[in-house]
Amino acid sequence: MSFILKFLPILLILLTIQAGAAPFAYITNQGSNSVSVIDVENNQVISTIPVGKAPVGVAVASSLHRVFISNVESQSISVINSTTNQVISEIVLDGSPVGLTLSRDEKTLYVADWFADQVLTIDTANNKMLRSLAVGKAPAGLVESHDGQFLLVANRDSNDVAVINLEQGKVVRRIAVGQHPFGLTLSPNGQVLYVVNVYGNSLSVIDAPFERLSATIAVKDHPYCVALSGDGKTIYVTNTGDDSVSVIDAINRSVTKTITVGSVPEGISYSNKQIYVASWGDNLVSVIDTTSNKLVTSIPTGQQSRAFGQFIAVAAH
Amino acid sequence: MKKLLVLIATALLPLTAAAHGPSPQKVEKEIVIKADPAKVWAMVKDFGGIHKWLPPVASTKVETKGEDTFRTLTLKDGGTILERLKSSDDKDMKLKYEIVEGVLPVTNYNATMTVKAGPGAGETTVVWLARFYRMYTLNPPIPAGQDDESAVKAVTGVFDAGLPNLKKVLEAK
Repeated sequence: MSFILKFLPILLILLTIQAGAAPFAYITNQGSNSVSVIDVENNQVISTIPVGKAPVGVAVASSLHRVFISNVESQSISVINSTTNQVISEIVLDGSPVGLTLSRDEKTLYVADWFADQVLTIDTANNKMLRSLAVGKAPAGLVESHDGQFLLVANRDSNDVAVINLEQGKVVRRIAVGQHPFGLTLSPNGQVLYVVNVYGNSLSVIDAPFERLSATIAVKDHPYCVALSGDGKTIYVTNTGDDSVSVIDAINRSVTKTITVGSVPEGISYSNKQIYVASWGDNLVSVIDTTSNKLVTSIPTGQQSRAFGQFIAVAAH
Repeated sequence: MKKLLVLIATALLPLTAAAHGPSPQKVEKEIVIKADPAKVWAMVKDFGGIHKWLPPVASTKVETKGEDTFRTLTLKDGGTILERLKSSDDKDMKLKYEIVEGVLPVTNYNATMTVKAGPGAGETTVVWLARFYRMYTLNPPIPAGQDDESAVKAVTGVFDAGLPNLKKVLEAK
């Protein structure tokens, strides 16, 4: 007991440091075959890491100190050590990886295999393939439900979301959404799934337990990806054809504002009251302050920034 | 037999099929023109007048269907390209359009032409940005002529022919 008491202050300090540590944004640059690492504390690029060809997807495993990058044209996953910002291995796949996501415990990496209509699962302990799960056509964005029961996958060319029961290892239902669903995300409490429909110019809303479509919200031309504010009350959607971000009130599900950002905005993630948007057209990241919902700065990155997926580590949970 | 049926089914897929490769391609070019921005914008936004400055185009025909405006470019070699106007913004001097179908070896082609004052006094900069995918929409291997390189080369050829001539036409006025 006295031992614990003696070390309690140190433990508390360590925990505080852990929780207060500024995370980093990992931006894939398709045309430069690299990843720009942005310190979100000061919005500076602190490192540029060469990866495979045409990198697109990102998944951040903060407890493992690893970042996974999908290189769709070299058909591989680059594994970055986020402590040293160096690629420590490359997982070669017989497939075309696009979307990436991690299980909540970070033990499994899920990879959307664009052409083969399947999701590959990789053991993050040894980078070995575990299994493949058949889904719909051209799987893109994917995310695991907070209870670990389901993997939710946007099938771009099937116009639906596949709900995979992970224990059974198969699709248990498919929920029709708008035309060409691509990016998706869960609300911070895990209770609402948001799916962006590229051709539908809309956002589909699916409430837990992910059985049917709850609502559809119109946005601008060719929307791509979606992120939420930390409190889950505001939704942000990138519109690639309109060079803008739609700001949506998550409670009454209506658009409140449209913010002009760098051209052809693709990936979007939230961190510490700021929204980060990868601009494929202008080779930069636009930063929006979620308090004022105004563009506050632009950070030059590499050629054709995409940053598809949750590219900033979610705050410790 | 099954294989043959698959082959036939694949061949019957329309060329405008929605599926495409995973990596959008980009061509971006800009040029500085010694002319007033308003004058440059007037020529850029003239959706039916692109043949006046884009050398490969022999003629342009504009049609409206409902709320949509289309133009058909007839090229000097006889090929055609059908395009849809997406937006024309006088405040930001930005024109957006997409290719519906045509002879370029691309799919899902979207382009933006932006007109900006500067860099010098009496100068105007035109930026032409295109985002598109290669012709071949299935998995590798990719046939020659339908790959990313061919798509980028074709679009680059159009831009490189167009922008210097846009400058020439406007500066001659």
